[in-house]
Amino acid sequence: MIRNTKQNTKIKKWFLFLIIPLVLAACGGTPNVDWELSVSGDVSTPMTFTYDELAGMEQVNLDDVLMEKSRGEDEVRSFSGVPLSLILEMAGAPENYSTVTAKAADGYAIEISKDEMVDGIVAMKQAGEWITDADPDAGPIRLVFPMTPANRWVFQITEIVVNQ
Amino acid sequence: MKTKKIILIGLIFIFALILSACQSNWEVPVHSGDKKRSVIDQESVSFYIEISQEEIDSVPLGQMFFDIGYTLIDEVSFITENQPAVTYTWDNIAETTIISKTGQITLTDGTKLQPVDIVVVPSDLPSTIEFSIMDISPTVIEAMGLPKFPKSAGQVIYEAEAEHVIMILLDGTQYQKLSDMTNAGKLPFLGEKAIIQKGLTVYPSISTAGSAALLTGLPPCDNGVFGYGYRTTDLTTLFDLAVQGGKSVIAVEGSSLPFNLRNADLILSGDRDGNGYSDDNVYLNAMDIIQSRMPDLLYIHFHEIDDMGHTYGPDSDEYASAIERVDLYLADIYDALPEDVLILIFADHGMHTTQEGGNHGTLTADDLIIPIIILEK
Repeated sequence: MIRNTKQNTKIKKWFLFLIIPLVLAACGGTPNVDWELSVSGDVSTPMTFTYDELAGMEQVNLDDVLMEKSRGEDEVRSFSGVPLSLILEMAGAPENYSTVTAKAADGYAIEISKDEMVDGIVAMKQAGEWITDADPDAGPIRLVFPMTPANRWVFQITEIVVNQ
Repeated sequence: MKTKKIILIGLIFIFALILSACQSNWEVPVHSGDKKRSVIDQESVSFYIEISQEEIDSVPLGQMFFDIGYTLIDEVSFITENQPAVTYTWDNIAETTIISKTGQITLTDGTKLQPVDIVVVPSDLPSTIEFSIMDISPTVIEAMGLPKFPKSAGQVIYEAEAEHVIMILLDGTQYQKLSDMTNAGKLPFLGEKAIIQKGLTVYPSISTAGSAALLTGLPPCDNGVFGYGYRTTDLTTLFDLAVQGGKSVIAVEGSSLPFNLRNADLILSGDRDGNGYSDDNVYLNAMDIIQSRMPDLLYIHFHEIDDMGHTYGPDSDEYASAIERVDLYLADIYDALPEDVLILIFADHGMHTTQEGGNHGTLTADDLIIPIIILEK
């Protein structure tokens, strides 16, 4: 009985050694992505975050977000990523900033008001999958503003400029 | 058993033949008195359905007319089998008339037609229009001494060499309205300084397609920006050429861009003061750039004329007021500019009246004819 238990424990250990890497592989570690997001403008500490650093920060889930489109059918999707408020706080954005200018790698940009940015995130995953794999044209990171029509969500975000 | 198999195979063969016959290409001849005959066919309609960024099963008939070389049109007649021809004033049906993959045309009032022939009466207006939105970048390139586009549909419309060039886009400004207001003495700056030329933009007459044609000097069929949902082009743009040529480029925009401005140093101008307008912020940012770091090429985009046009229509007081405000901004910008500047002021598309207010995007004079103004300082 004792021997059996020991054997079971051994098997369990091996099982864990095998299973854990498999699970990790299935879940997917952080993809190897060369990307940076800079935060500048009216902030006390201009910062630059690498993709890996963003992946290592607090992630929040935005489930079943309505993507209100200016043309075509609206969609509902789930995203997860780093709260924009956390990024702005780390860079020392003042409480009373008025807008943020968000610039993308493809030459697109918007200026978005504080009100439009409520609960906004720098999204890294879409429906549990890394955006860099799930929707390469939109990623590897994109802005998601759940309270704002989707034509204001910026793909391929590289630069955030805080405006007072 | 063997007989049954043979019958079954035979039936499948006949069914496949019928199917392929149903799917055979259709074409509808389109002709006019002074223009050689051309056709709208299944292949071209299917092309525009497939490249659309939206789920559609029909395309605007205006798209197909533009595709075969028409711009402004007075009348269209549809000839169907066994029915007398029906004739329409094009402006009355241009907004919503569509053609499906099967060649069926649905008119604004829901009438469905399967024409075997289309007769177009083109407008005389294009013969009075010398310029195009595609001429603006070649003119800027010439003035800045940059290498030319590898391919361009535009031409140099003003020969000048200048230390700086400033491009000012008045979004959604109807040529006729701007011209009438200037002639009526309501726009002091433009009235004193400008000759307002007529130009044509491309179809669809919307900001994405207009911006791409502006920046590449090519029409949508060449630059690949066919309509809504496109926001970039792989082709070389004016800004690419300028930066490759060692020139500085700054673009002052509103709160967002209708089209990606790759290689420009972007200055956005959201409504930071919360007064509900963004053009005042565009104006302030533009003045700041001119006074502090005037680049070789400055691009300024005023958005509000278009906003007011959509909400209230191009015949409204609000639309006129937005144009008057921009005229004041233009006067200040002109005064603040250094010497040796070439100034190009233009629209990306016009605006027409709708029941709800205003819109654009059609193959009509109100939407397609744009003002083009060239000044030197």
